[in-house]
Amino acid sequence: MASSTTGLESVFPSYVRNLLMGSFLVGMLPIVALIAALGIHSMYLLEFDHVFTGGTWTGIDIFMGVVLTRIMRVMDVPSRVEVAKRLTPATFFIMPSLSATAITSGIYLAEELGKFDLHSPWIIAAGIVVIILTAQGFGIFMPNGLRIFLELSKAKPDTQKIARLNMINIRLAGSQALFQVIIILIMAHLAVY
Amino acid sequence: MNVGALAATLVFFALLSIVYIALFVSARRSVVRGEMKPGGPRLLGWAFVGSSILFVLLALTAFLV
Repeated sequence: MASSTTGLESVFPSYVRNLLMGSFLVGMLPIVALIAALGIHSMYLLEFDHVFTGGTWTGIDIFMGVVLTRIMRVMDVPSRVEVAKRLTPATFFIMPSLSATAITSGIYLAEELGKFDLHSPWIIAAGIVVIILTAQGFGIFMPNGLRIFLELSKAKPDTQKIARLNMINIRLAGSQALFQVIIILIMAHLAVY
Repeated sequence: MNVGALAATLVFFALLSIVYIALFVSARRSVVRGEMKPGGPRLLGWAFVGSSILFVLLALTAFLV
């Protein structure tokens, strides 16, 4: 029944829709947890949500940048395309959700703890890193993911282009991991001092 | 209500919409030229709906602070 609702089956294999739907459902969890934390005024849940989403976001980026890049580099182009066809829908909603929740919960947490001082060099530094990460997400990550989908829906998909866009995203994840390590250093300073 | 958080969410949603609109226009042109199947723009539509739901939930948090 579900196969007739989206109209995507004629273009994409069924696993694309399933991975995309799974990604959406998993992506809902951190935001729902944030709503719950704010709704019941639980600092504990807010702190948990912030640390969990920030840690998972960083962990996935480090995995993609350090491990997956090296694996993809030794694969041939058709194999890379097969990975891209599955990796892109599987992470499509999860990564923006993790990043948005980590940033939003972090701001609420800093406000609750009285540390959200816009004159503080540490808060300014955190803001700059967040702007860089957000610009990369909206400017490169997400458009590349969508371009991969669009290329796959062409009558003659350019497999070189798909492999290239996917490699850009995986390498960019590595650079994001570096910025996240910087922001964790800032967070650790804010938490202790 | 946290006005700053709500404004930031709206700005990000506007950026997201611009990216989707640009890609949608490009995809529609490809469909008209016969290079792409109609499922391409349709997938963009579903992805936009999914992203919008996440943003609406995120905007909701601004009213809970």
